[in-house]
Amino acid sequence: MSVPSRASFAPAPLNISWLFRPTKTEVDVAARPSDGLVVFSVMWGVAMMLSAASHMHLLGGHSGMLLATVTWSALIAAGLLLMSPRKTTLLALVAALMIVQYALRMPASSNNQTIALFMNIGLLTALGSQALRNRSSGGRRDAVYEQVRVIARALLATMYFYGVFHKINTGFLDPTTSCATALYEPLTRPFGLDETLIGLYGAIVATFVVETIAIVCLYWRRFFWVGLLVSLPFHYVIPISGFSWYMDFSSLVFALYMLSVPREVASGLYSSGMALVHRAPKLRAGISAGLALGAALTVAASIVIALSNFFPGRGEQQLWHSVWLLFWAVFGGTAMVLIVRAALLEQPYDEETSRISQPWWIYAIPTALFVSCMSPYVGLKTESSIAMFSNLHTEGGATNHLLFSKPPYLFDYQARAVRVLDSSSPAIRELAKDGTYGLVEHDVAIRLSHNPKLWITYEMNGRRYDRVTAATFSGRRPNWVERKLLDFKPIDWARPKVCTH
Amino acid sequence: MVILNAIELLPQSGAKLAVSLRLSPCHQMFGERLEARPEGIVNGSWKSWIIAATAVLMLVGIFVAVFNLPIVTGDAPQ
Repeated sequence: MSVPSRASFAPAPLNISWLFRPTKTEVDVAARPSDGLVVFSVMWGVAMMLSAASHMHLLGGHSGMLLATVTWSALIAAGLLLMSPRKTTLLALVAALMIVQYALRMPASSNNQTIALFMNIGLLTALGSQALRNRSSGGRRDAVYEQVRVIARALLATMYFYGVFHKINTGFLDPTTSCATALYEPLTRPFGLDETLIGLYGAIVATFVVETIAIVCLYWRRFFWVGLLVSLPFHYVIPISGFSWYMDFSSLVFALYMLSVPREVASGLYSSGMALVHRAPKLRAGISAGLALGAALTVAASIVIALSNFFPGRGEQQLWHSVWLLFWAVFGGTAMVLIVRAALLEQPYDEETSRISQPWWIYAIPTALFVSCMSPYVGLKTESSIAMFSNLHTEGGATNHLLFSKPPYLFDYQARAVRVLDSSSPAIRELAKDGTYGLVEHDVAIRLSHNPKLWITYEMNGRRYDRVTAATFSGRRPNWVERKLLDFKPIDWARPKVCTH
Repeated sequence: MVILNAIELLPQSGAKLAVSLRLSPCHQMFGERLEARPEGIVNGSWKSWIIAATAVLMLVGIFVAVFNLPIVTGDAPQ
């Protein structure tokens, strides 16, 4: 029997008491279990839209028309998914386009986009496997929902685990260099609290506490709401620092939480969303969402354009970032309030009395991410390992991590680390002038191969190499697989290690 | 496999219809659970304070965001 796609509900009055008391409309909206997938699709649409929008140079065609086409297609498809979150084909299309975009850009440095890749692979695999089983569409969505819930929660747990583990180093624990304080200062500057010692140390401690609580509560059903209350505000405020494009990361976390929450919480969010949509009974749900999205972006752009009159000479990237940051401040805040509301309305949660057995590949996907993120310690890639803004250093056979006296390399990519002394590139020369700028030899080879006229003077293992070009480079030249899978951060030889990506 | 015990049509007052998908007892959906406690969250309870605080955080976040916009600070995002 199919569930009606829409019922005629009388809209409830909109007042502040709605925050604390569900309306009759919400109670009357009956949700299938897989309507949690509808809620997830809305947030995933926003996350993928923000991810695509973060690549301004790709959208502008600076990396070729193929990537521009795929990125624009992903952006549009994500917007359509936001408007029609029930459409399974749209969800599959967004996942596929984002996977293709990632593959074309490999090696991709972004950690959250790597996490999204694994989630998109899980989505496509679950959707595909259920499509092959020839179930009814409702049955398929129920089964997909149960499968991707497992993947999403494990990906979140992996993210929080490394969010703590990678930061156990001397650089992160030092308030003069910690990335925690780099984010704390812009958030508290409007209140004059940016230079308080308690605040600076508090930001460092809070990072560990928040992420530890988050990972524990992910799997402790009774206190899941505690982890939610701690994590959502944390992830909401990070992009507001303006320090970097964090909106896609935060919305990704929100989306993964939509699949990780108890089913009754997800159904509550669905009911709340439907109740809000039914306030405009003359509009179809998709059009309402589209209008809301368009209105939000238009208002944000208008504000930014108005501000540009007071702050002339700003670049396109700053304008673009500002529009989407404002969008996140409103959308992310609204989502946070609604999620917290649903979580508390439904608390205490029922205990799980039965577990649904899942195929082995469900667990293989997050396990692959977990293993991949060990890369910095075994001598492989230092980018795309959930080590962002961790102050972690593992290059050159030494590490500032407190649990290792030296990194347990299985591969020697990071052992072959150079100190850059000079270059024909003005940008590299500027970075190298104080003698603390370095690269792994793999990275030197890549950079030289991209520009035959470029030369770099560097020192490696006590030996100096003067004006090395692609033609005269005598080191190991990476093969295709190494070029695609390995990406390394530039090395900062300064101690303590300051906050970089 | 999710066990579906029954699908019921529950006539409501007026012309409204609600379809309730009843699962195994451990998975009662939002509406069924809240019918048992329609009062929602009691005003002044710790839950209401948390929800209110979250709403305030959103408003503060929007305020702070305006000050941290790259177009305002002039900073190039990392």
